[in-house]
Amino acid sequence: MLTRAGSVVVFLAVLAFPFFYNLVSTGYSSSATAQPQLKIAKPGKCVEDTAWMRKNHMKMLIHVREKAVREGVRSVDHSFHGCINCHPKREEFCNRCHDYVGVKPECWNCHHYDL
Amino acid sequence: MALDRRDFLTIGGLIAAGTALGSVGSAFSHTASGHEGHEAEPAVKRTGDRASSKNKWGMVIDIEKCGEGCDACVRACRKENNVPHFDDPKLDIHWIRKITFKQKGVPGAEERQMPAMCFHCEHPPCAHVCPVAATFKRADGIVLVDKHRCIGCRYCMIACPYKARSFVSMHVEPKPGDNRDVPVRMHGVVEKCNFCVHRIDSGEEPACVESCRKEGNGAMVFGDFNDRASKVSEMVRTSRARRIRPDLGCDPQVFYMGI
Repeated sequence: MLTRAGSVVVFLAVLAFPFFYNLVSTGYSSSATAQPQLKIAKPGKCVEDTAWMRKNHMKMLIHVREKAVREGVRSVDHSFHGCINCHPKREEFCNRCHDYVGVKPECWNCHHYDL
Repeated sequence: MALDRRDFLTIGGLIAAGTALGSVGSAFSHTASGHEGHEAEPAVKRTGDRASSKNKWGMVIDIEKCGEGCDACVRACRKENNVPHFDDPKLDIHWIRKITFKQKGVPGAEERQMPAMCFHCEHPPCAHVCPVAATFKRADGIVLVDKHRCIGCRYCMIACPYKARSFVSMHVEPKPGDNRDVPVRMHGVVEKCNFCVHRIDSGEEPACVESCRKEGNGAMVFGDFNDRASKVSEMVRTSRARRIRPDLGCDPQVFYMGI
């Protein structure tokens, strides 16, 4: 019979098994799955730098959207028409990261990206 | 160095010829650019790069000219704004529709037709009742639905006395062949005519007005009521253009002639 302390140790070992299993099977790399790779049809400079876009593109798009709908400011560069110019395929751009993190944007329910 | 009379005249003549040629050249280039400018002259001209209260968009429709059975405006609107067909008259979306009417109390009054759409009221009751501020009036007087924000409660449809609004009661998928400048819509929002706001912002007149002039009978005129020189202002000033149901106090910006 296990003592009470022994059973706690066994329980914790079972509980932590997936963590150690992944640690060993992926060769101690920081990420278990491959990072999404974006395909850029027209490489060049984005309207903002990559790190900023990664973090803030949704805020930027909503800001541009409000401006366009409410105030009628229809400049192209920071809107997603600007995105489409350099990233013509949604499957190779938006979807790569959004599938990876499991976030479903609703933009394309109505707006045309690539058809 | 002394110039004799002959040299002086030669140099003077050359300078004069050069000046004349230069001015002729610039005149040519001016006419050329002027011509291009004329071609690119927008049908409607908005002030500045955003919706501004300096403009007040509106429309005048001459019912006398509106042809019976002509539906050029309706077709153009459907095409321009990707308005779907649900094949059910109860559910169908109408941004603009031809209505048939008969004057009340007039013996032997004949049936007549007129196009009706959102009248973009000065005091829109739809915007007043919207609980989420999805319907709003833009600075230039266009009443719009922010479909990102609409929750589909349909208060606005009840509030609108002109039946200008439709509810999207089915799923609509963006499809090839759509006009890509205009998004489609999600199931569960309310929508209506927006005076082709994307076209106005890029200096074009609404699709219905354009098709009425090109394919129809030129019954619809679109313009800026704040501009006294515009055709719509002139028509409203000088003819008997009237609003529909002015007693409701919504002050529609679409006027009808010949009612």
